Amino acid sequence: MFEQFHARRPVHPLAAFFCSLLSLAVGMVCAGSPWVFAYLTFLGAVYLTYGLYTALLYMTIGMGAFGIITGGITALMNGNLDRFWISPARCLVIGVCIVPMLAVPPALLIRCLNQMKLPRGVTLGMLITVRFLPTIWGEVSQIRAAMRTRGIDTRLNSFRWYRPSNLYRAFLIPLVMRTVNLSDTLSLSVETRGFDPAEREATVYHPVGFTRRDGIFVALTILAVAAMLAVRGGMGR
Amino acid sequence: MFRKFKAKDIIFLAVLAAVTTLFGALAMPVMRSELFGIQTLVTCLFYSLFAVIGLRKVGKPGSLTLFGLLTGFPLLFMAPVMFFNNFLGALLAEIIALGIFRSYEKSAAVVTGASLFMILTVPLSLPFSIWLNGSSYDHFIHGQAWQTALICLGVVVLSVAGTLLGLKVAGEMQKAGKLRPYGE
Repeated sequence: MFEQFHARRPVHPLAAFFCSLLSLAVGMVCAGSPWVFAYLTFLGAVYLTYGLYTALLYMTIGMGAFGIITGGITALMNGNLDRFWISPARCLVIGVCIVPMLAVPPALLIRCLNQMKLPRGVTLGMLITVRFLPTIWGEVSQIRAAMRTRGIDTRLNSFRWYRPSNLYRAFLIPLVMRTVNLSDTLSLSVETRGFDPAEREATVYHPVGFTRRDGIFVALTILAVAAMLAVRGGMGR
Repeated sequence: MFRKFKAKDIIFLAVLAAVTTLFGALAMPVMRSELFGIQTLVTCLFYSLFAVIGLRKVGKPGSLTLFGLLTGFPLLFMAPVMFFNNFLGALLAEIIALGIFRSYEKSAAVVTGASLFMILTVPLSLPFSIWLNGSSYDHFIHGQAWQTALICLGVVVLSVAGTLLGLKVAGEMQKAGKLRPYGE
């Protein structure tokens, strides 16, 4: 999932999660202040230094454009352009602040959780959930192809596709059937390899360590957050 | 009351969570909408439908919480707040369902748990919505009262509809021998 966003040297997963959540919380609280753009610029510069280019570029362009469109529509409907910038600011806060998490490969997070002795069953489940999204999408495409061969138009603008009987019999039942079959095959494979969810001891092949580089990343995020809160507090007085 | 999860239980719930997450993407176009609860309204049918199938097949106490945790996990990367929303919703729904029925043997227990899962995420998302949109409680009660009430009602109706549809699907699958609860 989001392979194109993964950084070559990602930040420690827990540090990325902490920084994402903290910067997002403060960014949202301060989204009404024009200083939020300076805050986002600083965070963006930190992310660039840490090599999170792709995720930052995609999220800034995507969420920025989305914010401009939604803010523009709202402003046109209200006939007031004064507070137009708040919508793009909020969207950019969401887009920029989740960049560290987007750049973390899920496998790295799972390894980290394994090191923290989280139940192996839970970490296995998490890994399967993210890894199986493309597989399930492939299954959905196959089911739609099968529907087409049976004469059901699956184009999104076709009303036959949404007819409840078609949706239930030709889409939902095969999808659940495929899900059951997939999970049965996977269970068999996992059990054959001797996996036991109750077993807590596991060797992590590539342990994930918290380095000085990660510490600096957390410190810079806390600095940005503190500065933003200080500016907001100063403006409030 | 409590039974240990086997690898196949976890794997089934994980694959089902992936399917649910895929349908959860339908909420993408309304993700930034300021209408309270609209995101839940769009996705609740699918979440409750697949939750029922999961509970029907696994049916062990903790299944719904695990399902909530797994459906929330992909959201952790896109919207960390939504992860907690999903997880807490599932946990509370499970506590209520098991508190009343003790197990998932009865269909009523499955319906209660799966319906409440998404319904409970609505009040849970209120603080987040206020925080994300910069609104106040007053805004939802006075400013958007009709919309809020309508959307909440829609969530309840669609969640229950999803659950009933899920029961129908699960019933068919069980008849066909594809969804036999584990351990039987």
